[in-house]
Amino acid sequence: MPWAMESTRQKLFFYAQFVLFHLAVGASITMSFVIPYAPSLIKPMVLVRGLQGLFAAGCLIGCYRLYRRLTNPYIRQISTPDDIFSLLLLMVWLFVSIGAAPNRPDQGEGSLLTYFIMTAFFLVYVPFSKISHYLYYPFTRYYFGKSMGYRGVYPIKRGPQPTPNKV
Amino acid sequence: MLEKVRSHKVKKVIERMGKKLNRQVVGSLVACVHCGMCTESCHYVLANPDDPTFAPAYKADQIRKIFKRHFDWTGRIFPWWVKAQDFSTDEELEKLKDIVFGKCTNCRRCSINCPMGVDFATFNRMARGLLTSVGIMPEGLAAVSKDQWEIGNQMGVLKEDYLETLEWLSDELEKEMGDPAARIPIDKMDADVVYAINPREIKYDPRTVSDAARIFYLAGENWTMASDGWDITNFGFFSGDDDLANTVVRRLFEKVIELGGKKLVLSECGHGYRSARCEGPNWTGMDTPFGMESSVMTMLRYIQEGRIKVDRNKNDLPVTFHDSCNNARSCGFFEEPRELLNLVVTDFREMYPNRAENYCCSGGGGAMSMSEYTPLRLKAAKVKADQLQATEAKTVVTTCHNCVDALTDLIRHYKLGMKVTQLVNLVSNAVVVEEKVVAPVEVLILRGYKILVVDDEPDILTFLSAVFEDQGATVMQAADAEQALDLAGKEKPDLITLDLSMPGRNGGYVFEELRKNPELAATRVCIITGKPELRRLIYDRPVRPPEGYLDKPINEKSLLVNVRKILEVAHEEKKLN
Repeated sequence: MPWAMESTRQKLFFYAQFVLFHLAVGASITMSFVIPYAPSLIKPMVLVRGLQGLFAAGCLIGCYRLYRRLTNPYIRQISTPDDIFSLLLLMVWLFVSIGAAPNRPDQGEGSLLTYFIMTAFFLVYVPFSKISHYLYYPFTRYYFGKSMGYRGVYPIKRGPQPTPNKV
Repeated sequence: MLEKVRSHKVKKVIERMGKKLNRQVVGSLVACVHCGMCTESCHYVLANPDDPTFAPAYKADQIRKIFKRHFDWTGRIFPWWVKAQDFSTDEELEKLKDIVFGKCTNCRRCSINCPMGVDFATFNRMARGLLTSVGIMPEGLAAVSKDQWEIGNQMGVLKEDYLETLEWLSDELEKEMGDPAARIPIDKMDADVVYAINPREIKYDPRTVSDAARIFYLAGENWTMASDGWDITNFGFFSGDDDLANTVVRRLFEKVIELGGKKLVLSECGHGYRSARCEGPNWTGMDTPFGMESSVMTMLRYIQEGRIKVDRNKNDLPVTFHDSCNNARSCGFFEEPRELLNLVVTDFREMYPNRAENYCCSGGGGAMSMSEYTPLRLKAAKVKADQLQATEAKTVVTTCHNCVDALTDLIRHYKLGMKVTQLVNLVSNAVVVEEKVVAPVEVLILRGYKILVVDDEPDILTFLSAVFEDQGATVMQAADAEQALDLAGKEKPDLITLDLSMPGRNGGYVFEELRKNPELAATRVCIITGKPELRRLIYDRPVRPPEGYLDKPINEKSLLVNVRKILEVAHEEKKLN
């Protein structure tokens, strides 16, 4: 499980942001199929509002992540223009998704057009950017997990943290 | 646009990188999303919080940028977009050397904390191998690798010296047990166990060999050691030189096959265990018709099967356990050492974090042989020092010789006042010898010998003199180089213990003068120093190396064992001549 990793355990709030952000991205990708092929699925207002909330949260998290990337000296040192552009792109796309979620072209096609143009742009940009990590990471996790699992390192077992002054 | 002209070495590195890439390495190179989750898992980062260049992702990017420039489509077309960068000069390769060798011990703590599964250690080793292939590597690593290629072991121990040491240890064991069968068998055919060791044990700490021999004898084991192909360490593993890695393990495996051994038992050496047990079959492609296990497993089995009995009350000081990265994080070997430890000590205190999440001792990845990075290593060791201090233990136990050296260094540097030991020492100490086989202990073991002690510190002179005089030796003291050479010329001592760091002319000068003087060249010398990085003063000299080497703070038992060994070997040689 994710909290088996020390870096996740020590930064649970950061991890929660990661989960929410990727749920928002996943939901938006799904929406790009639902709107043209099964628009009735996205009709209930509760669902629309829920999606909008999710996209808004994702967008806010993206803003925080951008701030972190530009201000944290460790992250700034390792960031590339691609890292920053990919994040900006996703933030804008999630923001536009808020407007696209109601799927009301009668109230103006601007949001939907922008949303679908951006979605299409991703198809071109992803292979050349870090966003392609979603394709690579199942393989890297498989290789690493297979090797470490075979050697008994995974699942990681931890000893308890000693209490102060305990011997 | 003019293309930069690449140096020959850079061209070779890029060409060879293409051949070393495989799916696992490429996956790790492309999957990094620069999230920074690995940052705080690294002991170098924790010890250098104001320097972002220690972050694992940054270090990895120094290798990644070359890969991106030459092998990644975005990096080739828009290099600035993904910070891909070409190298053109040897100076850039030298800077990379300082990162891949000096700022990372390949401990893999970042790898287990990466959500993407990026295994930095794997392609860091690849980068080391590429630099090594064009002759860019730390000097110490190069020297040790050369010895391992040419002499067959990383410490350059000659076969006759190795066999003499085992012979001497056998004599000691036979005397202790009062049994002529209590000896170390050499090249015995069809033994159940072939025991292979780290050359450090022969050169600096023969107690670990004698402790293991004692345990094998008491367990009634059908065992042997080999006369060659006995070195389990692997500097090809550290340097990324796959040819050397393959050759070293192959020698080990072929010797076991030649002897018809049923099981190869590996002494407590982290990377040695990993190289032989886990990576060796991959490097060599050999089928190994014999089992392999760590001596920790062997000792545990002896106790569980009742072949030896132990009394844990003999080890009653509080101990803690350091998980060696190669044994634990890379080979999953963390429960068995604890199981054994709990059988032979009364007060075991876990450090935190532990097991796969334990911190590196800072001596991994060959760091102990790279003296140019010692200050960086000792600074990064602060994390481990804090862990040790928090346990309030008196002794730290580990199953790796590099860790023994690194922990000894950091304990001295941070003044923790702890000892370092290995499981074989604790088991040997705890073992119950059921038959009364106490052999008469020779009192005054140094009677008749003349020893000159050379050190600028009065306390050390007093201590060494007292220890040697208590054992019957005639002792002379010298506090500087001139006095040492003067006394050596007049008194012709049997042994000189020599400090390296002295004001004015240092120990290295004294050593070379002794070796160049025909009347004194045969004098036995044991270097005793608190600055291991000064070993170069001795080993860079074009003269025969010293007969012994000890670290400060001086352990009295270790001192006497080593001095006695040097003098008795000298005595035997005189008899033969």
